[in-house]
Amino acid sequence: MIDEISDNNRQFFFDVFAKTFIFFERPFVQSQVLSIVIVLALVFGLSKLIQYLIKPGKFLSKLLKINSKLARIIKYLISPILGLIFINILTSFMSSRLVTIGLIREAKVLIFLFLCYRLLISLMYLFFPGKKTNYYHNRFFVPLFWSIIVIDICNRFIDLNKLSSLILGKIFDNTITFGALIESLLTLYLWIYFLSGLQDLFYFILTRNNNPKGIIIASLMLIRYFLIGLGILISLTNLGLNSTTIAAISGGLSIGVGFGSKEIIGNFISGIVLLFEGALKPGDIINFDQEMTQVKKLGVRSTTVITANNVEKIIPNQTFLTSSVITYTGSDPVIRLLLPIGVGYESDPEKVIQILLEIAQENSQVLEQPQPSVFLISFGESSINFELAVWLDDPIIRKRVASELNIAIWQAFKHHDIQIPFPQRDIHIHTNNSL
Amino acid sequence: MDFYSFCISGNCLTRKTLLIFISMLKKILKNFVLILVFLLSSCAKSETNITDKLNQKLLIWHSFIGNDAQIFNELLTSYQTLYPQIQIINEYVNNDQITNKFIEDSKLGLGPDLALVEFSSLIDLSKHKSILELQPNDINLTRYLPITLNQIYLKNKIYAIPFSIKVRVLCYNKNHIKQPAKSLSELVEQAKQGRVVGMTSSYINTLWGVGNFGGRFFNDKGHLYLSERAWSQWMNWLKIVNSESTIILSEDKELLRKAFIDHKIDYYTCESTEISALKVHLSEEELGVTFLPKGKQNVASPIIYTQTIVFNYVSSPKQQKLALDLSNFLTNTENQQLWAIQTESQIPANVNVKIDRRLSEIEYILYQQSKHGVAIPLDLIINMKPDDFAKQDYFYNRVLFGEMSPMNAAAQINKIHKLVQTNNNQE
Repeated sequence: MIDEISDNNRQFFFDVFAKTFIFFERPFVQSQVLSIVIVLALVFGLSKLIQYLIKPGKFLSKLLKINSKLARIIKYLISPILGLIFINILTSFMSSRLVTIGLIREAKVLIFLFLCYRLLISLMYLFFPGKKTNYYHNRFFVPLFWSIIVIDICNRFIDLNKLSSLILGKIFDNTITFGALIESLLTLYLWIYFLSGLQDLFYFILTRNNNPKGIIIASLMLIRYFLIGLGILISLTNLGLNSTTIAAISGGLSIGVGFGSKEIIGNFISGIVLLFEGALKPGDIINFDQEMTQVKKLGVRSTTVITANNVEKIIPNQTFLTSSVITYTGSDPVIRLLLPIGVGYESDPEKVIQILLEIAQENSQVLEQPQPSVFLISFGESSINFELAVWLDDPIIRKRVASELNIAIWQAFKHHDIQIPFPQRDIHIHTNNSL
Repeated sequence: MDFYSFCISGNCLTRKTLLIFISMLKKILKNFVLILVFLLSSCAKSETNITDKLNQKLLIWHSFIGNDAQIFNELLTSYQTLYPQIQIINEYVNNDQITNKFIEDSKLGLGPDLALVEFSSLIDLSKHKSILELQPNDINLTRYLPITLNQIYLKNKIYAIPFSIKVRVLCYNKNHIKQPAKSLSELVEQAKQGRVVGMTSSYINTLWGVGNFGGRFFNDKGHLYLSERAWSQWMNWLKIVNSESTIILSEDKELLRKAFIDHKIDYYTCESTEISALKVHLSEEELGVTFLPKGKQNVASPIIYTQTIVFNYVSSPKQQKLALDLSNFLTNTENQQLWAIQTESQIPANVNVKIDRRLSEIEYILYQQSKHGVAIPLDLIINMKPDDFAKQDYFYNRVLFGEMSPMNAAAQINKIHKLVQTNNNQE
């Protein structure tokens, strides 16, 4: 049976090869393909040249004063525009010389499609954040566009119905065909990224009115995962698997998940809880592993935080539910910064307090309300110890503000001749006269 | 400023930039020349004799299914046995799609080298310049049944080679019918006795009955003309039998065929090409084929449809020559005889084929029935539009349901024929 299947498949591909050979032996096909190749080569060369010339500092860029955004749009659109111009010239040139120019006309349609696709991408780059656009461009639009092109071209040379019906093998007595496999994989892949894009779009729309982000993210994510699950189910059905087989596979997977992926499921559920609870949200400042970090992305399985050193940490969601986490921005991002200061015993405490308050009030990052305050804490061994308490609305700037305040204090104390004592040690060196 | 510089509005191309351009252009040109050389060399190959001898490939499209497809494949295999250096790829394309697909693909330069299509497709195929016009020395016309030649000529040009013909016959269930009806009156008699008759009902599909009443389809000038009196008589007969509960007139061919296969009807006015499909479900002891019932003095006049071989205009001269050679092989007496006897559903177009009743009863009936068939020349229907066919059916149905007199309807149908003829003459 398997031998028969592989023989049929081999025969099919052998026939495809032979058919292609037959077509390319025809003068009408040769002349059309040659013309299209010439046009594409010219378009490729010219567009590369133009792309080079519009680079910052290059000839055309200076001449036409092209900025980087415009340069990017030109880069995307130049080849399809040139392609359309050249292919139109070729069509009018060849229509009077060849009876058959169907392939050239077909190429024209494909180039037009290419232009539409590039136009869409350019508009996306214009109106949406570059990083997100780039992500969906590479992951969704490129595979979608090229799938359409490849299917269209193949359709001209290959009997796609026959190709689709080629049997690849059997799973639990269910016949898997080539068409069903490709269709299921491709549509599932595109479906996943389409849903991701849709989620981002809805997030963008729904969060404009200061709605609770955590609940929105969680809801959108749950809907997305549900739809992905539905997509997987439809793909498996499309693949030719019946309900019994799907039940058997999911049963097996459940056991596998139970034993092997316990942690993943735990993290997944923790992620959903975190999102709905709203305990953490992107942008929150938390203390993790004795380090102040900012939450960058709240995923269903893990949370990504970024440290002051711009290092990303991926933390499993369960961590946040099973251990205590300090958040500086839970319900209120305002935090208090305490600076200990010691002055000599000859200094006037009232004056010191006044200077410290003035310094705190002068710093633009320090909040006016709650007001900064200074406390005389203790009388130390060699200094009178004060504590300056100021309030900040962004925990991330804590270190920078502390540094600014310390510098200002040092300069003010120097100006007012206030000593900052430091521990002094007298070292007595005994010399041995007998030596 | 560098003496190599080239400036526009104060913006200059420096020497370095120019050198980069030159090197880039060189690269592009180098690749371009390589592609050009590759393509030209592949073009040149097609002209060499070495390749001719070693690698010859042909692509064929047909619409045969089941046993017919298998026999057709065997014919191709026997050709490949004779010429092992020739590789034939044959593909099935649905009969309803083959013409349009041929036209679309040939516009691209693709499509088969050779295809088997019904004669009526030649009109569209030639209009779109998809098929090759054959030269008189490409084809030996004396080899084919004269009636089939009417259906390959278009404005005095030959566009195809006849391969086989299709005709309507009377299929019956041998288990239920011991002695099949030979005449219309016998058929009605058996229907009254409880035998169920299924007849495909439309203007074209019932034209076979016109011959039973001595009717003709052409006037003295050879133009399309329906004998008004004969058609009226035939329509009156149909109107009467339509009231019989055991005689079913239906436009739905598939439905009637299924009912016949399911033993729900005993007689079915089937097309010869349907016999293959019927044989899949009915055994030799069950399926009987006989002549269409005759009238009092005249026999039935079923319409003949020629299955033709056409050649792609865009094929290379070498492929066209090869395809012609293959078509000559397929239509030679020996292969046509084999094709007819083994399929028992295809009537050979070769005039020299002799069908012995002892070898195949069914094929003999088909062959003999075709001798009384009417082949409508392609030139006469070249200007017939889908609307005209629809109008004919409209008049046919109005007569059948008693809403119009048959003579009046026949006159209207002849008006359509006249208009088509006027258009033909104008061209």
